[in-house]
Amino acid sequence: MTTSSRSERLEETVFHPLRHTSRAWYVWAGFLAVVVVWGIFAYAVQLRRGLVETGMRNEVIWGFYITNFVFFIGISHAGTLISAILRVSQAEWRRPVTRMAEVITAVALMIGAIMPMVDLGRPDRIPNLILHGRLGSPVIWDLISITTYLTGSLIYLYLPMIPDLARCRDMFSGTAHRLRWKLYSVLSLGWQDTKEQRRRLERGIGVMMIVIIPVAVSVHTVVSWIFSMTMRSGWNSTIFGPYFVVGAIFSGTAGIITVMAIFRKLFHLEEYITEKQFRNLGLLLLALAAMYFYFTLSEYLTLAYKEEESEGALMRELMLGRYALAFWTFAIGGTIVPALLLALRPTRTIPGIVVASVLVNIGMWLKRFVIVVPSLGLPLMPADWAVYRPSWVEISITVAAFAGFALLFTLFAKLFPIISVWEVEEGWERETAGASPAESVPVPVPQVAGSGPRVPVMPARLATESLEVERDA
Amino acid sequence: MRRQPRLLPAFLSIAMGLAITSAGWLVSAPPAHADGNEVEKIRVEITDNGFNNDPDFTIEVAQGAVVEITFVWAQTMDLDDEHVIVLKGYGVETDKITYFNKESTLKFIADKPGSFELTCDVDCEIHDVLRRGHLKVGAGGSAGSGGGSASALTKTALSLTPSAWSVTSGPVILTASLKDAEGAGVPKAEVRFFVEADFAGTKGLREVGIADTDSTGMAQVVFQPTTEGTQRVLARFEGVGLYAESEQSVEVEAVGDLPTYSIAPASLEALRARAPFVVAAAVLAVWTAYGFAVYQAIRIVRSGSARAAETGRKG
Amino acid sequence: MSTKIPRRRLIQAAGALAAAGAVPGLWATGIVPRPQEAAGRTQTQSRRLRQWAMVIDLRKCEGCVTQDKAPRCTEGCNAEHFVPEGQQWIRVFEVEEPGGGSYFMPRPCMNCENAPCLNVCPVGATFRNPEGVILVDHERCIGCRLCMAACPYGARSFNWDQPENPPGATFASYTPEYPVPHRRGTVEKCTLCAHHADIGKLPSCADACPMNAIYLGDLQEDVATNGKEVVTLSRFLSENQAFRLKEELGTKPRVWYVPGHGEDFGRHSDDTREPLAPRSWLEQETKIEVNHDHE
Repeated sequence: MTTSSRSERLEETVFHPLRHTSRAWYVWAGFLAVVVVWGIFAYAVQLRRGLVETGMRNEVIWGFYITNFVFFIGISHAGTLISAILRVSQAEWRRPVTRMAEVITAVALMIGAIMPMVDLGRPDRIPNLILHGRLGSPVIWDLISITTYLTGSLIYLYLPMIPDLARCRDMFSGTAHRLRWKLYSVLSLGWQDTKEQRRRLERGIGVMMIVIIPVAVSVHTVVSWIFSMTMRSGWNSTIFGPYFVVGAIFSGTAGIITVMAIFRKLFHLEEYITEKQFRNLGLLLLALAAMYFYFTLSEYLTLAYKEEESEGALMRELMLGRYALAFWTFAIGGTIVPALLLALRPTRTIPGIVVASVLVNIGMWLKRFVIVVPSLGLPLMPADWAVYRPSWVEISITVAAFAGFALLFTLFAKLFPIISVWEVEEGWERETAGASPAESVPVPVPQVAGSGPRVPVMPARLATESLEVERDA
Repeated sequence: MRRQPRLLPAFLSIAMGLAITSAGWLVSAPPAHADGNEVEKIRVEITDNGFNNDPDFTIEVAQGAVVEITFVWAQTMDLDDEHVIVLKGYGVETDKITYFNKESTLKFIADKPGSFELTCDVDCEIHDVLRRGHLKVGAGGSAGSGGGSASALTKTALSLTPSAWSVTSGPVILTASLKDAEGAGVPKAEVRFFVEADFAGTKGLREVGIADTDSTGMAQVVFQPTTEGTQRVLARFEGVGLYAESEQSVEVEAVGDLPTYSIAPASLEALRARAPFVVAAAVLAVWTAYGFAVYQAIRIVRSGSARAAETGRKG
Repeated sequence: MSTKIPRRRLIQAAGALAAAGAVPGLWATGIVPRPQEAAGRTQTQSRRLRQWAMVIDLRKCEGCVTQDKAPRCTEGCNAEHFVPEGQQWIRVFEVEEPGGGSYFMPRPCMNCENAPCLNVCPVGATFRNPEGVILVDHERCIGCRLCMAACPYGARSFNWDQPENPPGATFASYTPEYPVPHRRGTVEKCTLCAHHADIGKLPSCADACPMNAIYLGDLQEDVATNGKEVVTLSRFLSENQAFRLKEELGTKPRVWYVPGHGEDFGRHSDDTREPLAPRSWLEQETKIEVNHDHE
């Protein structure tokens, strides 16, 4: 197989969804849109009548919305992990997966950030967060951190898209899709794949991949501090920061595996997203499952051993009482079963790994629920436990959030290539040329001042993303 | 020799007569309401309807009297009943009074004025009617212990002197001196100190200290004024034993700055004050890095357009 | 072919990005003016500010069971503030004693000196007035309910729907000290009747208590009263083994309790009578007074 035909095939496959839209797509997108609209309607009802439309009441003051908030922000750690950490460590197998991961981050952050706003009693006063924000409040830390992370991940998603956007621009130039061509033209920033531009791109990506890691860690840490800066039983824990971050990376990795499997199937990407990606991510998921299990054990064993008055009561409800089903489903179905699926060779197949990832995320959603709600139901004064029953509004908005997540993905995949084509090609170059990652091999590229239809720009060999000190300013 | 035998019987009979008379006089029940100051001997019958047939039986004695109350079994029903009569407040109680031990006496000195419960302390059959007996000791009656002669309660005089009539911020030492009618100091007497207060629509005296007088009758407390201006300070002796109550008040002025109550700052204030700067620095660093990356993107545009211009010129 | 993006636009965009990042930074360092606390109104009668506190003498509190009424403190508060249905700003709990038996404990807002609610409020809607009372600015509250999660005493309530306000409430000028009319989507709590303080009145709960179990205190003047007697606050606390709730949490509450079980009014600790459910202001048919003059 020659290079050109391999990359032709890659381009053909990856750009196919951009060029052709099937009826099934419209049905799917339409369905998702309907669910999202239903969710917006439910929110409108809540806006009109107040939060009384939810199941939250004076004791259990947070429910599904905050659970979703923590869940989606957790999933958003996917992008950083795969993209940044694996880029920094120069793991080659990440190449087909980076864009999907970065998109998960951006989309999950957007959905996740909406959740607390939906939960507010007075959303009309959101500007107060800026005008009167208090730096001592965990909510403000969240605001700063999530805004920073969202901006950073959008930049970090966008920069590596530029060469592919240039490809899209060239693909659509001169066609009937003038609007799309315009979009790609603007977004690709006049990318001509020159040496200068390549250098700029490398530097931009290089800075972002370093900076985005501590930002990501800070995000879920401050989300956890919403809970652990209070003195409620079950929240008043010192390990919440690392606990939540590990949990986020855990559910984020599972998220990537699931999304990867879906797109692989839908877009016929079997040649690019291979067993290798699944196996590596699967082993990573296994390692994270072990870590998360360890953190969970630390948290609950220390509480259950001492059985201080209210913590003991909390443990009882959690493990033997009202919340036992959710808790054990998470503990066994969401951690142990996936870990076994991943650890045992016979089940470590692509379907096995995907099933494990789905179980993990179901378990993690239940785990977030089990963190948020029981500690609020536990009475602070001599009184009865409070019960929480979500209303149709909360369930609708939750389902709509997931639908919105899927819809944004669907729209993205329709407009932009879901695999980072130039990076995959770059990886092939490295492979065939046998060049060490430290070398930079610039190659002059024949410019095609194309006005004809569908004349692809020849694949560019870009300078490597090394961490060498830049030689020229 | 025949004359002597005639004197002896006469002498004996006179003596016996006297003895019987005095015995009779001694044994006769005195009235329940005694107002004498000698030994009060009171005889009380425990009948089916209560003490002396009165469920709300009351004895009145004068303060300082030596009192002996003898309880006598007089029940006709429940002959196996038992009673232990107790005088609450004086802490004395009888032996078990039963059909076979019909009498028992309470002996005490009524030095405490007031009303004290006289009840049966065990769960006897006629408990209901033995529950509401009272002993009333009138105040200001007789003199002190030991069955001496009566005298009124000793009047006392309390004088109050503050260490300063006008204070700026510091505390005042209030000295009270308790003297009896002869001018001798009254020791071991509890003196309470108050200041007049008017707060949230209620006026009253609030207690600012309690002290016992020493051997010379002096008691001292430290008083920290908490309001500005003139305030009335009062010392009061409630009266105890032989001594009558007395009180005295003076006016003290507080000028100047009184100590203020302030909420203690959080103990980690030094760190808290610097935290915002640390956060701001970290956030700025991150956004600067973003700026750098965005700047690279801008340069991509610029170099692209420069290149296009170049190519355009060439081509 | 390349498109030209106007340089100016890009620079504007980059500048906006940097500014967006700079604003939180600058404001943290105080260069940009920090949000001011809602101005506490001076409610003093003397030159020094009062520092309000409360003492609840549990020897006197018998849950109003001997009165055959619902807790009068709660009902008084409900009537005074038109407390939204379902909320109890002062709530009477029954606490079990070792050895069986129970005592009643009315729980108002503790007005903690190290208040968790104040620490976590993102917009400063929960603030402390100069006299130490923690109040809520219902015009600023965004309803995030983090304060409710943080309060270890569960003393806060939320207006899940639009509370029913008494007719004429819209003409009452709202202040945090007297938060009428109530607003949907904001957090409510006991205000220690801060609006009574400047006219020298007891809080409504203290006023309503038939046993005079609730004392209003001033830490500045070291005095407290329940409407009948006046006591020196510090002595009253120390001579009667006063305690605070959940002292170990370090919230430094300003509400003290004198231990007891209503024995001053004949309630034994093994009395099984339960308090009745307190009525809301609607059920008590309270009407707004024309002259709620709190300046």
